Amino acid sequence: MLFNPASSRTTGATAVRDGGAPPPVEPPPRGVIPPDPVSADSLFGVPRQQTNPSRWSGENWGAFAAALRADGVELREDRATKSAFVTDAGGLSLGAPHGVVIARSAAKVAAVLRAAQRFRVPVTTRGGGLTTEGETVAFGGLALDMTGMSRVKRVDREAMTARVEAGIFWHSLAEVLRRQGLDYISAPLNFTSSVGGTLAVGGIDVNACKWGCSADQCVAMEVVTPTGDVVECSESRNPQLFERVLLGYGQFGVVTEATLRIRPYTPCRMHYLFYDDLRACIGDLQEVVNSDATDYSGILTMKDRANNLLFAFDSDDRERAFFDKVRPRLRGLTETQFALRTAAFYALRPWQLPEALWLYRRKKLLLPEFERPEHLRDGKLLDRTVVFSRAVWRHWGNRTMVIPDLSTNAAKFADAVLEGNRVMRKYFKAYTLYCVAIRLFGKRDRYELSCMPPDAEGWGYGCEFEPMFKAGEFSRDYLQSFKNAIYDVGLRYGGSYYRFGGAMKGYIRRMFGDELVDRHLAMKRAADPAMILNPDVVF
Amino acid sequence: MYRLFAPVPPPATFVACSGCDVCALSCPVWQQTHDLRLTPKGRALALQGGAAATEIVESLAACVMCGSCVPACPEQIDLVSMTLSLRADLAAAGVSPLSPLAASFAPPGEHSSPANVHLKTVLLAEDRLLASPSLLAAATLRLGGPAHVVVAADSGRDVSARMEAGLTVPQARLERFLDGLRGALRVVTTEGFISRFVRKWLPGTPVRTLGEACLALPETRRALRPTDLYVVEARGYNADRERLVAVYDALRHETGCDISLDLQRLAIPTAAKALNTRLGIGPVKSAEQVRWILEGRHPRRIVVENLEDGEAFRRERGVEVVHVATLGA
Ligand SMILES: Cc1cc2nc3c(=O)[nH]c(=O)nc-3n(C[C@H](O)[C@H](O)[C@H](O)COP(=O)(O)OP(=O)(O)OC[C@H]3O[C@@H](n4cnc5c(N)ncnc54)[C@H](O)[C@@H]3O)c2cc1C
Ligand code: SF4
Ligand code: SF4
Repeated sequence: MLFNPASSRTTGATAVRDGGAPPPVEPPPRGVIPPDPVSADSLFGVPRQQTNPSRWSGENWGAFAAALRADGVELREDRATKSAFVTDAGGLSLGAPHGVVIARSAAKVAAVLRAAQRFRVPVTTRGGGLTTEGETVAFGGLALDMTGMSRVKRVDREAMTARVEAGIFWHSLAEVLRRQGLDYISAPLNFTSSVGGTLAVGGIDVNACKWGCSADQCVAMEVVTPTGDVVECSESRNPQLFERVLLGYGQFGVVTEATLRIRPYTPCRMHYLFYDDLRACIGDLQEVVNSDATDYSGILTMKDRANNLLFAFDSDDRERAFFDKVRPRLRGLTETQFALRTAAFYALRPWQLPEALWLYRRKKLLLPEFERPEHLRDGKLLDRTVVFSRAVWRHWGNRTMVIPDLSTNAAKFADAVLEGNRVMRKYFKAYTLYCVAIRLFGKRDRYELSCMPPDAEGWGYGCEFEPMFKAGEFSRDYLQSFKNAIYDVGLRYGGSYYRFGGAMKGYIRRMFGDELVDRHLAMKRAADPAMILNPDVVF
Repeated sequence: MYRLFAPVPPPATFVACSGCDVCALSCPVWQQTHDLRLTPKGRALALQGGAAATEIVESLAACVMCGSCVPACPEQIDLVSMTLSLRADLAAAGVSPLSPLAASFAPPGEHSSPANVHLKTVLLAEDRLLASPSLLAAATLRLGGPAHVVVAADSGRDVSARMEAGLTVPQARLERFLDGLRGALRVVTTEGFISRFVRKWLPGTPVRTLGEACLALPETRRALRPTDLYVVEARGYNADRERLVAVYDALRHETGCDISLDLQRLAIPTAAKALNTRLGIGPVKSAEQVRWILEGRHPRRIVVENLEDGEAFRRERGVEVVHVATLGA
C-alpha cells in the first residue's frame, strides 16, 4: 500500500471492500455495438470515429451515473458540455466521455472514484488538457475536470509556500501572488497548464536549470487515491504515495490540493546570443548550465539556421559576475554580428533566398512579442511567463499540434538533438527546437518511469521538436510518422520522453524495459484494483 | 513551401478555437464560477461539437461583455461578436433571458433633432453622468469647454442595450443615432460597450473614452498619487486595448498609481454596467469583482472613469471614490 490508511480522511478503500465484488459486467447482446458516444458527427450522416479504441464499452454507465447523482455529484451528459472534452491540445486523438464531472471538492472526487471502482467505469483526469497525445481524452467513461478546483487557499509568507487547489492555472496563481510581491518558482511556459497536471508530468521552465522541474517545488499534496481515500502526503508523510503521484501521469491518484514553494517576485533581464551552428549553441548552453551562473537558460531556434541561446538573471550582481567570468568563454554572436554573418551566408547561396526571407519575416514577427513595452521596465522583463506564453500560443499554437521530445544525459544530448534535427529537416520546412537543462536532486523515486533521463547526473537535458503548424496542413499519419522518427532517435540514445503516454505509449516498454514497467504495473494494480484511473495512458 | 507573401487570413470564427483556455484567464465568469462551459472556449467548442445556441443558453446569458477575452485570444477570434451573434440566435428563437430588459429601453423622442456637431467633441454620457450637472460640467470642461463639446441628447442607451441582448436595432433607429455623431471631431464615451460599434460604424471618427480624454491633460495626471487605485472602464479599454495599453502604461510610469489591470494588461471589469448583472441574472456579482480588484491592494483613494463602477466600489468599501473628471480641477 502506498499510504498509511490511518491518515486517510475517508474510508474509501473500505467502502469498496464492503461493497463486495463489483457488479457483473453485462456484455452487449451479440451483434449490437454498445453506445460509445463520440463528438457530434462532423459530416451529415458520417459518424465521427474515435481515433483510439476504447477498451471499455459503456458497461454499468447507467448504474454509475445513478450512484453519482445519489451521492450529490453533478454529472453532465449533454452534448455541449462533452464537446469541450473531445480532444486535448494535440487535437489528433478524438474521443468523448459519456459524462463530465467538474471537480469541486476532494470529497466529491473521492465519491466519483469510489463509484468508478465499484462499477468499473474509467475516469480520465484533466487539468488544462495540454497533453498532445490524447492522455487527457476520455475514450468513453467519465471526464473529471479538475479546473473546477481553482482557488488559492492560503499564502504563507513565513514558510514561503502557497496552498492551492490543484486545478488552478499557474497564471491564476501568479495573479494572486504578484499582488503580494511574490511569485511561483517554476511552471511550464504556458499559462493555462494546471498545477495538478503539471505535478503529474513534471513541468519544465527556463529556470529548470536552477530549480529543477515544477514537481520538485511541491512540498505536500492532498491526493484522492484511485479507491477514493483522501490522503495528505509529503516527503515525511505517506512518502511513497507522494513520490508515486509526482510525475506519475495521474496513475496513482488525483491531486486535489498542493503546497508549493514560492519566492519573492523579481523581474529579470533577458540576454540572447546567436549561433548558426546548433552544436556550438548546445555546447554553450551546457557551459552556461555548468557554470551555475545564470538563473534562466535555454535554446530557441528558427530551424537550425538561427539558434538563440537565451539566459537571464534574477539579480544584477549575478548578471555582472556572469559577464565577467562566463561570457568570454561563449562563442555566441550579438544580434548585429549574426545578421551580418547570415546575410553573407545567403548572399553566397541565392537559391536559398526563400529560407532567408522566411527567417527574416519570422524574426520581424516574433521579436516584438518578446519586447512589448508594457511588459518591460528599464530593460527588465516584468512578466516573463505572460510574454512567453502569449508568444507560444500565438505563434506555435494550433488546433492540431504535436511536440515530440526527447531527454538525455549531458554527454549524449548534442548528438541526439542533431539527429532529431535531421528528422525535422526531412519533415518540415519551418520549425523550432526548444532545449533546456533540468536540475536533478539525486535519485528520487519520482524520477523513475518519468521524463527524467535515468542515467543523468546533476542535470538532464530535454529538447522539444516543434513544427510550425500555422505554416502548413499535415495529416495525422504524417505527424505520427514524424513523432515515431523522433522517438526512435530517443530510443537510440536511451534517455526518456516528456510525452511518453497516450498515443506514444508503445515506446514505454522499449525505452524503460519490461522489468521497470512491470514493477510499476504491479503498483498500479494494487492501488487501482479496477484499473479505472487514466486507463490506456501508461499501462 | 515557405510562404513569402502570407495571404491575409479571413477573420477567425469559433472554428479556429484551439481550446487553449487563455480567454478564461481574464474572464470574470470563469473567475467566479470555475466552469469552463461558461467561457468563450466552452461556447466555441460546443459549437464545434455541433451544439446550437439554444443548448448553451446559460453560457450565453452569463457573459458580462467586458471584452477582455478578445485581445487575449491567440487565434484572434472576435469573441464578443461570436457571443452577440449567438445571443441573436437566442433572441430569434424567443428564449433570450436578456431581451425583455433590453427591449424596455425606450429610444429618445422622435422630435429631438440632432445638434450641430461639426468639428466638435460629442460626449456620449451615461445616465448617471447626465443626472449629475456638476460632474457633467466638469467633464465638459475637461474635453475643451462648452463651446467645443456637445453632450449628445441621444446617448444610444437603447441601441446599446439591444445590441448587448442580441436584439436587432432597426436601421432607421441606428441611422438617427449615428446622425447625431456624424461630422464630429471625436466621440467620447463613458461606457465602452457602444464604443466598440461606433468605431466600426463611423470609421473615420476617433472614438475615445472619457478616461483617456481626461488623462491627456497634465493637470489630471498630476493629481494622481502613488497611493491611488485607478479603475479603468473595462469595456472601453478592452475594446481598444492595443492602443490604450501604452497610454495606461505611461500613466503608471508617470504617476506611480496602481491600475485595475491584470498581468496580461487587460482591464478587470466590475461588471456593474452589464445588462445581466443589472437584471440579477447570471453568475457574475459586481461585489465579487470589486473584491478581486482590491485583493492585495490597499489604496487610499479610488479614481473611476465610470460612475457605475464608482457606485460599486462605494457600496463595498468605505474608501474615498472620485471621478477622473474631477481631478486637477
Ligand atoms: C503549446 C504548449 C506549450 C507547452 N509548453 C510547455 C513547457 O514550456 N513546459 C512544460 O513542462 N510543458 C509544456 N507543455 C506541456 C504541458 O503544458 C504540460 O504537459 C502541462 O504541465 C500539463 O498541464 P495540464 O494542466 O494541461 O495537464 P493535463 O494535460 O490536463 O494533464 C496532464 C496529465 O496529468 C493528469 N492530471 C491532470 N490533472 C491532474 C490532477 N489534478 N491530479 C492527477 N493527475 C492529473 C492527466 O490525466 C494527464 O495524464 C506545453 C504544451 C503545449 C500544448
Ligand atoms: S482563447 Fe481563443 S482559441 Fe483559446 S480557448 Fe479561448 S476562444 Fe479558443
Ligand atoms: S466578454 Fe468578458 S465576460 Fe464575456 S466571455 Fe469575454 S471575458 Fe468573459
